[in-house]
Amino acid sequence: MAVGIALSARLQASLRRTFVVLGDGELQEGSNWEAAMTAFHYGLSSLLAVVDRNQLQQGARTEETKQMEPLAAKWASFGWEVREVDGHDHAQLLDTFRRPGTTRPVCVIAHTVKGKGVSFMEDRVEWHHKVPSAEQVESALQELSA
Amino acid sequence: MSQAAQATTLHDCRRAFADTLIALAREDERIVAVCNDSVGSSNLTMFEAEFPDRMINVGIAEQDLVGVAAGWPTAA
Repeated sequence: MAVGIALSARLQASLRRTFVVLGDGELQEGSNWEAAMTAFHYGLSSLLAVVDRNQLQQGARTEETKQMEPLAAKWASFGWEVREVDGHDHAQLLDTFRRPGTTRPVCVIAHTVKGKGVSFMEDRVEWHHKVPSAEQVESALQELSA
Repeated sequence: MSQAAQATTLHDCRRAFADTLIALAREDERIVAVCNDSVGSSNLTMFEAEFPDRMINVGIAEQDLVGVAAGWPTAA
């Protein structure tokens, strides 16, 4: 869909940029790579995709479920400009978001830890989908505000 | 051959589609064509000749065809 949005902006000679957030696990779905090919073919430098690279999907780690690596090389081979950042560093994110691609679409691989800052959630696969209890919410909020 | 069949003039439905689409596109600049490789066999060659900027060919990629077509009007 983001490719359609970016193409539409270009036809209108608009400077509007298009941002899309992708999970890492969902990149196992082929539709992403169809879109990646189209975006490169049409030189959609106004398009920036952020991959939340937290290494976890519904049932297990991404690399156990279906290997994603070398992920940066995959995007690069599809013609995209690839940038890797610490997804918890807001300054790095802001800096990279401010810079559109020169001639090609941009893929920002944001390395993250799911549940960051909450000791009992960090990097644990069950928190991909689990709903916290009221007590767990309370304790998580305490940790985050500490 | 029946009289009814003899009286019927065969008409290419793809040609009707293309002619109608071009007529509509002349009146409404929001109309674009998104195509999966089959520019010729979808009879969109004339559309592309008249509206080169409004013809997107995603290649043989039907999932992307749907994605582009769904995303486009949200920003148009």
